[in-house]
Amino acid sequence: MRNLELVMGWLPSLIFASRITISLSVISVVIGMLAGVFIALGRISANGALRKACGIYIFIFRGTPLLMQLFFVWYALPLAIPWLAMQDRFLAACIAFSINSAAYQAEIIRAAIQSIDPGQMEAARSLGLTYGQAMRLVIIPQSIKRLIPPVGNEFIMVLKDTSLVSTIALVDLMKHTSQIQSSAATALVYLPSACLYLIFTAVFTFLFNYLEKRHSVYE
Amino acid sequence: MKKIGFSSGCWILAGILILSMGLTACGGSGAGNGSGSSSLTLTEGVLKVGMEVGYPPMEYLEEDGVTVTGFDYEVAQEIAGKLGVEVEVVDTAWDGIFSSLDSNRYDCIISSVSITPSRQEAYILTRPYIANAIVIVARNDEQIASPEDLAGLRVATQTETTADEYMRELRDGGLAVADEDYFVYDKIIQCFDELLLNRVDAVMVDSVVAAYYMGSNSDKLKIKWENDTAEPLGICLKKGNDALTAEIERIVDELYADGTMAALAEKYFGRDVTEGVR
Repeated sequence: MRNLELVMGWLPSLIFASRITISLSVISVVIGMLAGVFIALGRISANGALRKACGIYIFIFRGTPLLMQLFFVWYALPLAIPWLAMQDRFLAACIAFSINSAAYQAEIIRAAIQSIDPGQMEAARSLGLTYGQAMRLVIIPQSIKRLIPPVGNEFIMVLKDTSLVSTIALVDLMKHTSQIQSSAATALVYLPSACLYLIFTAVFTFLFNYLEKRHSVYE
Repeated sequence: MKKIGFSSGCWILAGILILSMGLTACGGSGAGNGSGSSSLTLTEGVLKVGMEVGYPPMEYLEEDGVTVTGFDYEVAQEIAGKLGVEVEVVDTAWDGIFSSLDSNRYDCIISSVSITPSRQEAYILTRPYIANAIVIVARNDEQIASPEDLAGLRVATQTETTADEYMRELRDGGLAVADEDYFVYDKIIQCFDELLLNRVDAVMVDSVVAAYYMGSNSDKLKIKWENDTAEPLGICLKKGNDALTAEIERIVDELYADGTMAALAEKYFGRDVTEGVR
């Protein structure tokens, strides 16, 4: 009973700290998705230079640790270019997570677009649509259903990776949990904290499943 | 298939149970250093020392990036030398450094551990081997003369340090530093980076460490305030490890008597701070 009381006492502050975890994941995945569409289109465009540039972007940001990118944005960038010194930790975290997520999602989107039968593009072009119109009206709408499961996966990964922000002194759910652990001298706090992570994952899994069902009406 | 899967699952579970019981048993005997083994340390001939390497001048890496050095490291070397064993540094994050003592990852922690009542409850802490004080470091132009002046400013500390605890006490006692203006970092160097980048206004930190950073940035940063009550540092061991504790206490006394400690303090802090410590 004593334990239950303890857990209930921690819960409000844990939920409050979760606002960083959730808002950071949602913002980064949404920005990463928008940027990812353009990087993916660049990767499969006819322009060789653009293709190369997008390939290098993905190579760099998928090939280095997210933690290092976060440190780079927050600590190294201001030393190299002083006017880029941000004062807002949350903004810095959003930038680092977004550029990282964009690299992953670009590959997800590229794979989804390329999985659409080439006949679709040929048919659209033969009806007189431009390349852009065909992409926008025919190919991308069809690829969305195939995007949803891997993007859901990416979202859950980002949600858990947000625990890295404690390194720039931003207090998210994980950091607040370890603060409670050390001040209350008990590891019991990991239990409600893990439950919260599971609840968030469950909610977003449900949401992505719903979206997938809605988008499968065409098939 | 199902049946085989289930029974093999049971075997795995049983295996894990037996293994963990075995490990607990080992842990039990290792802690007391009693049964069977005559070695004072966990591993014969080696003194495993837990350190958070990255806290100059107490424990840090030389310019080659791999060699551990620092005041604590040399103290560990001296102690090991008198015990007739080798030092093995186990580099650990500060967050969790104490719990690794419970799981027998090392014999002792020599890593600027301040002696506090709550730590003494859970672990053995030797009598102090050196003393330290909490200080406030800020940029030159900042008007700070005491902790009260921190009200309304942005303050940084390293997580779980006594400076962190002290700041929490001050804030609980009414010091007006808002939650969103109080920053707790994993590494002490990050606090100083933030100070130089103008993202925080003051850093609360151990004096011995502050002195080291003043060296390279003495034109920009300044120690604005120093706590009167010195904060003694001790060597931390697992509860029940009395034999090794007694040996270490005896050796540190010797190091004080023959002037080794005074020389080390002179070397790392620029002055002899051993007066009245022990």
